[in-house]
Amino acid sequence: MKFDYVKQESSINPARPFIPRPIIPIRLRHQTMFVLLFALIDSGADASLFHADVARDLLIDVESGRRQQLFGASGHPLTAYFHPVDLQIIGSPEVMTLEVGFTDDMPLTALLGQADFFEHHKITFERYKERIEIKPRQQQ
Amino acid sequence: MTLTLEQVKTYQNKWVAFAGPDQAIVGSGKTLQEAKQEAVTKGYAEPIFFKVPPDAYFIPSL
Repeated sequence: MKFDYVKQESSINPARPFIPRPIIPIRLRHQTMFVLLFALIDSGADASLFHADVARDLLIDVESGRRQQLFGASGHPLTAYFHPVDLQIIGSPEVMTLEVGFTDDMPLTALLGQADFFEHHKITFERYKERIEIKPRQQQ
Repeated sequence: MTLTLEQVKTYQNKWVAFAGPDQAIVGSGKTLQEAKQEAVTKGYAEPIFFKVPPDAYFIPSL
């Protein structure tokens, strides 16, 4: 599946009026609840991480999950709680059960990271085309 | 999908709900649940949610 980068208009640098990002539509399900999200594919993230609001919408008791401290580029620790969910790229028939983290300490919607999302897919970033291609691993 | 600078300034750090063929913003709020409530009230049962980043470059790996 191919997706165009999501573009965010920006005033930071007039020479670059848009910030393109590899953001894709996904469906996250827990038991009978589901939510649709735009999630950023982040090759630098060791695990997939979602804002805790997403867990609350799925009726997940956030703090009942496996607690883990994470560190990022800033060096500041954040606490996430990991729960199993079903993740589906919108438009794909494939559904994956992944253990993902939820945290309130994140200003973003969702990061799709290495340990689970990248483990299941071949992902080709074409920044110069502002396009990303994702194939399930078993199609290799 | 493209987020305009006006949308970014209006909704930065808020949750928004997108729906329809042109991915219009049909709800917003401080929480996903607030954005969902507004979207559902307008008749959009399955919007796609996104927390709008500010007009800044960021290093997402937190």
